[in-house]
Amino acid sequence: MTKRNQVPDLTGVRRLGGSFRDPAGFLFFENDIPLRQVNPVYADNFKLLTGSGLYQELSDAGQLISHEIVPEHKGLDGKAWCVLRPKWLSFVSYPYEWSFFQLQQAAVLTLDINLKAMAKGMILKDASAWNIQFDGCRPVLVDTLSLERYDKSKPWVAYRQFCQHFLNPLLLAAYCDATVLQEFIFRREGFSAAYAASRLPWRTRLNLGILMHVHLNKRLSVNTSGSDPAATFSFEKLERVLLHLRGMVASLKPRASKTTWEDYYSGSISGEGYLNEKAAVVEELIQLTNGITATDLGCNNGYFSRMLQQAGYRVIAIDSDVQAIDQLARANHQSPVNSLLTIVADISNPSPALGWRNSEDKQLIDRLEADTCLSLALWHHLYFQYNIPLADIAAFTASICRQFLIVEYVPVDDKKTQIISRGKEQLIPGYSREAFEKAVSVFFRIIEIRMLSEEKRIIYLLKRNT
Amino acid sequence: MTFMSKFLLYIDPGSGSYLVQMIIAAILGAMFYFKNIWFRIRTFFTGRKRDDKKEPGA
Repeated sequence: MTKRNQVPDLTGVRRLGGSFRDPAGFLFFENDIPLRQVNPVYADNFKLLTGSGLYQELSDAGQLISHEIVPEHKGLDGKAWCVLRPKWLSFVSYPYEWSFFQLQQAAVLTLDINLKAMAKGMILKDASAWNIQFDGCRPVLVDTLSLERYDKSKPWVAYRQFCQHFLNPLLLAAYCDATVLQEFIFRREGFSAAYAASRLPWRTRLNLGILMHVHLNKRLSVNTSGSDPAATFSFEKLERVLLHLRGMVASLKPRASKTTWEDYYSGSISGEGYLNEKAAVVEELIQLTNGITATDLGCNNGYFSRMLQQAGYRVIAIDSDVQAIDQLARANHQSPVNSLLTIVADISNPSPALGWRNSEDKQLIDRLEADTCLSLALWHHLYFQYNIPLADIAAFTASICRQFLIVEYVPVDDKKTQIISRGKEQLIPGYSREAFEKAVSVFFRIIEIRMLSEEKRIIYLLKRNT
Repeated sequence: MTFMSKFLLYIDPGSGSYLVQMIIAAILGAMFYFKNIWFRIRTFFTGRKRDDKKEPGA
């Protein structure tokens, strides 16, 4: 994080750029350890959260991030009521990097937490998708301070935000286009009912849930100005609305389209033979690496990401294909080992730094650094499709790779390379095994070379120069 | 669209959403009432129970 992105303060302790909206408290870093300051204004709610047993129930279930209270800490400004040290998450992701299934999981979690909270006399005061993080494959609410005392006579104050951040984008992804979720990049307030209504097909008016939560919502939010009627609501009524929302959200499925990678292996002439040989080589090379974290760039269906996972790594699996990532996220959810996080991102156009002063969301390449990096059948795409020079690809990969890189060189006469290099013949002379090895040797030294017999592809194990 | 966005800037976050929830709760309440009667009749004849909670992607 650059100096510009930090809020200036006199103590030398860094307050997180994005944590300022809630008067109840904020997140700051002390010696790179994240701490959450709880202000006196939240004291009563905090006592209720712990005293009611709600904190214990939610954190035991892995639904709310667990924390320890830091004794005697007065907070960043000396005015803290108390200071919490939340559980450390190794990778932070944002809604525009999640697949349909991940956003759906986050939505169901938000509703489940709200229902549990209501039973204990509390409620979520906001329902932002940015309040959820993924701890491996499991969503977790990270904003402890968003729970407050529940007034049973009132409807849910965060209902509209829930619709904008969860229900509407999921509906659009289910009825229109699964890639719509990446619009979160420029829809920080979420997807309004008016926007969702304008894009959803007319037939959705025949679905009672969508008719009520989207079309009616749109009409009333535009036509109603000023104060709401003096609400006389009840626990039962709100519970009914939330259970209905939950059923609706949980039953949605993403709109299917043919994925880029769907038949990458099955459709290739070599198919299974190639995959088996490649799998054996990659597995052998992974055994020669060591470290804690790994990234799989262009992970496709996650076959090799799971290989990294089995070798004991905490893995970030990245691909721009929303459907491939969605399938991997679903499979990942069933996995008994929780050490793989799926991310939808395009390496040639990674997520930018976003939010107020560009300091609320960090850019993707600042979050990617890992001990081991897997980059299979990716470089020829970056070279031929996006015209990125090999030296640049090597420099980028080196910038996010602390130790080991397993990289596949796909030769120019490979069938796949021939398809993507068509009409770009001027790029062919710059692409060769020699040029590839020259580019990587600036940052890495070659440890192992394995030739794949069928497609003349080469897999390298490289170690970062120190 | 531009006009609408400007207009929406001056609406407080809860506006309209309370009313929507009250209407939805009323509709769901009425449906629940009639469904309950229907399920009671059905259970009486078939003995089948209903299951409510769905998991995502199920």
